[in-house]
Amino acid sequence: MTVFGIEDRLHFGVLIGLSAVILVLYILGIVLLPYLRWKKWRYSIDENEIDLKRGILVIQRTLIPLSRVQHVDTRQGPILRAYSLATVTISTAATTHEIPALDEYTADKVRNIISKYARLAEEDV
Amino acid sequence: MSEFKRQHPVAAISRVVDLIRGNLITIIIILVFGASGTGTPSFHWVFVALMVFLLVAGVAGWWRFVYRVEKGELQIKQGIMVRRNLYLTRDRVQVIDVTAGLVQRLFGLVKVEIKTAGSSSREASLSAITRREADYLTRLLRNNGELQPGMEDIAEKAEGQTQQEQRYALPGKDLLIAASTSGSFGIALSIIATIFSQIEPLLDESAVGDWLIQVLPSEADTFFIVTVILIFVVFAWLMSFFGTLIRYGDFTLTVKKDELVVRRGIFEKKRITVPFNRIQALRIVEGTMRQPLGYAMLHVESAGYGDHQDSGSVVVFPLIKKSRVNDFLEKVIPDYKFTVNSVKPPKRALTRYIIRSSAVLAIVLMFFYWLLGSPGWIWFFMIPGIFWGWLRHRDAAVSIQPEKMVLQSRVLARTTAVVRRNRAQDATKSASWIQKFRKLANLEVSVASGDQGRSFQVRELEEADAEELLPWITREYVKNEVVWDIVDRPLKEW
Repeated sequence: MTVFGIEDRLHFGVLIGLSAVILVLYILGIVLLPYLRWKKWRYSIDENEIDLKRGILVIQRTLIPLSRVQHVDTRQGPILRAYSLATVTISTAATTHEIPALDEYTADKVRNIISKYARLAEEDV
Repeated sequence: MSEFKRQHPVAAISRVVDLIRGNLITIIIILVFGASGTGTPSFHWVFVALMVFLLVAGVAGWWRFVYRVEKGELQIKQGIMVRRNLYLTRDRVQVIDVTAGLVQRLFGLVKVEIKTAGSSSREASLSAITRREADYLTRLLRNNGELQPGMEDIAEKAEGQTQQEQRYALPGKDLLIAASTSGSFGIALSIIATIFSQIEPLLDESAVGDWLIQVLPSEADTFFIVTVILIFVVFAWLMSFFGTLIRYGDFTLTVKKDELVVRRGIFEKKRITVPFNRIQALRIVEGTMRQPLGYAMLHVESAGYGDHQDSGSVVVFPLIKKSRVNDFLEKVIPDYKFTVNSVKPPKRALTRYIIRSSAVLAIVLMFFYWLLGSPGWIWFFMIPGIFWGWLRHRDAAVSIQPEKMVLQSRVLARTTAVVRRNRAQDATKSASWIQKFRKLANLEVSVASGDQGRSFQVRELEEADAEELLPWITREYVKNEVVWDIVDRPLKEW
């Protein structure tokens, strides 16, 4: 039997096996991982801090005091726009954080709340 | 001064030097390729063309750069193809640094850098003007009667008596210790390697090469290899020795009412001003060779003003006895005086530290094990890796005080970072699923530094500890409220 110039039965088996593994990983990568990543994303905002929790393999929790927020904005690429979604970007003097793909209404609300709290927090300091 | 002026022609030279420095990597790549591709002269032409281009760009850049001061506003027009206009009002000027590089000093000129507030400050810099011109400029841009560098030499003498400022110089002995223990081997070694790769083809071709081949033993025996390595190490050490000597020679730190002024350098005089309100964190670095001798280097992270263009790190003192650090801080930046009452990683985290530190080594050794025909003794080389992991575990610690967090960790050098709560930008707790399973977590705190940020991380803390430490960034720390069951375990070293 000759498939793609490979005569040996064993080599053919290895080829098929590897392809199957890669295919499975690929499907996991585009189907399962984004789903899990989305499911694991949590954020909360109050007048003192922004709390972000995310990650599947490495779980990260970040606290950003609102008095450190320098600016906050919403961003929307063509794909996000097609689905009426937007990403909120929060910048401090040192780091930039994102809350990805919220629906437009929520994103605007989140942005406005953060900006309002940030202004209040700054007045306190 | 209403007419636009050009800088001194020497500015063109220092511009070319800057351009060469900026394109150093490209130049090195071309040089290396040029050397390896023997017999193809086109590479050399590329090199020559590049140099000519840089020269022309430098001169044109100088020609197109004009400035003037009009009604307390500095106006700069620059750019060869794209004109950029920079207008800077004097109210926004925060620091004026006058320095003199090697090129400038040859011609008795100075470089003036005018820095504004704001972390991503656009700075205006005049790379070569006469000292008189610099004095004139600083007087024009002088802000609210604040002392300006041009006037300072006179003013400083007057102020010396009024006890307004303290001055710390680095004693000659300490400079020598700093130079001989500065372990910047890596950089030195890479420079030597570059030089060597340049010399090698020459050796092959020249009579010297023939002579060397005759003199050297035909078989490279162990003794020969060890000698070559030793020569390399000694040479690298010498380079880092003189590098440090030149960099930190003539070091003084001046503490003023609201700023720190660092002056350093033998050939290239550097002067760095750090206003107190820009300081974001303190970093105490104990190099591998300095730590056994009980010495450390003090850095300050500042927003906007750093040693280099895009870093906010400034060396505030190159060498200090560790036992004296707290006294020194008391006098210089009392806000950053600290005590240590550590939360340390638990015992069971040790294995993870050791695995992380020796994994790469293990793979390399496995390769050699296979290559050399399974000699058992090769695994003795694992000992340094394991020891390194043990050291990193021992040195990792977090201490918490009402307004400060002290994060201590080790890569090669042991670093102790002191972060004030009102300067911490964010805090992150992270755990991989293995860490989660073992109830461990990493803690990371970021501060602003230069245009970007810098973060300090302590790995493999008890998950519960990390969880409790995290809210420190937003909440007031009340000593009796939170139960810190391991807080009072004192750390021997400090």
